[in-house]
Amino acid sequence: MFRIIPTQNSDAYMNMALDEACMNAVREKKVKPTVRLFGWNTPSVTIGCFQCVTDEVDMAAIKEDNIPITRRITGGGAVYHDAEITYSVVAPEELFSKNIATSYGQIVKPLMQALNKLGVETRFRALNDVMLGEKKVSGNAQTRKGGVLLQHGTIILSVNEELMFRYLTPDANKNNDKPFIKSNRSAVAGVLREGISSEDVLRAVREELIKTYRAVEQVWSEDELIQARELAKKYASQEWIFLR
Amino acid sequence: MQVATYKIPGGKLVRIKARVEDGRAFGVQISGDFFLAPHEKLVVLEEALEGFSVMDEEAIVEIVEYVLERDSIRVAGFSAQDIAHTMSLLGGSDV
Repeated sequence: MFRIIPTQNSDAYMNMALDEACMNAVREKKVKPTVRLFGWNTPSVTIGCFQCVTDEVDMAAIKEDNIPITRRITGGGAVYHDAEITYSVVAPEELFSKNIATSYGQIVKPLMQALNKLGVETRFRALNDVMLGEKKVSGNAQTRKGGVLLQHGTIILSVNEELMFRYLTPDANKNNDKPFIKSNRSAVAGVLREGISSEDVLRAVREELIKTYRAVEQVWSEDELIQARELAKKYASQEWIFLR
Repeated sequence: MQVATYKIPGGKLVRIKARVEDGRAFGVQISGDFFLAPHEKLVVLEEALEGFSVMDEEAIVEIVEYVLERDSIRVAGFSAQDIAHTMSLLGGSDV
């Protein structure tokens, strides 16, 4: 049985810090495996753990617009977090497949089921994308450490391409193996449409997560919050952001 | 510093930056949108590639596979062959 943390918004640094603190708490068996939905206090940018920050983002634009940026501990690409619902799953590795691609698919399944119930027919595309037609509506990223898996990802509600590509500078080759995508600009989409609000999506996804993981609502432990506040300093530090 | 970028068909993007002297790579930095765990171990892989001839794909595949197994590093989105291929592309454009 999992716990589900009440949906809340935090800043980029605390959002990443809470995931890491939760991983530590699950590893030490101080808390149950955990799932949560969350948001961002302000639009923010995260880059993948192994990305070179100056290759992936326009730091001048980010500074000019005062956009929080941090590096995740998970792989994957750079993300502009704006109109989206973000989720995290933290659990002992053995609850999911050892095979990384398979485990991505397992973890996004309830998200896809929730969207499908709303009439948004999605499909999983290995390694880590959920697609609506030929456009990505959910990007997912994972890490594993000490027997604990963290997967977090987005459910994109709507896309502001102008701002996304003001901050992100993806390599021109990123989609050159995907014949249907002429450029990164057309590669992502949101799930909102007439008759489907962001509240509908949030409600459907939350219900599906509770059902899948037989989750009960619980708040963060005091230890997790204390540790997360410390870890947030790392996520805000220039040393961490410019690690690569 | 030289840079080589390779978008692996059906996989992830790998970028390698290194100084190439007499055909050998030094100060190797690997970046990209791949998956690797534990995340602290990427540096071990980078260090293992120090001094390798960028064109010796066979030796690079061997050392990458050896390090991944020795340190129980799990990757998704690239293979040892992809690292070797990206290394062979060094000597392209300057950073």
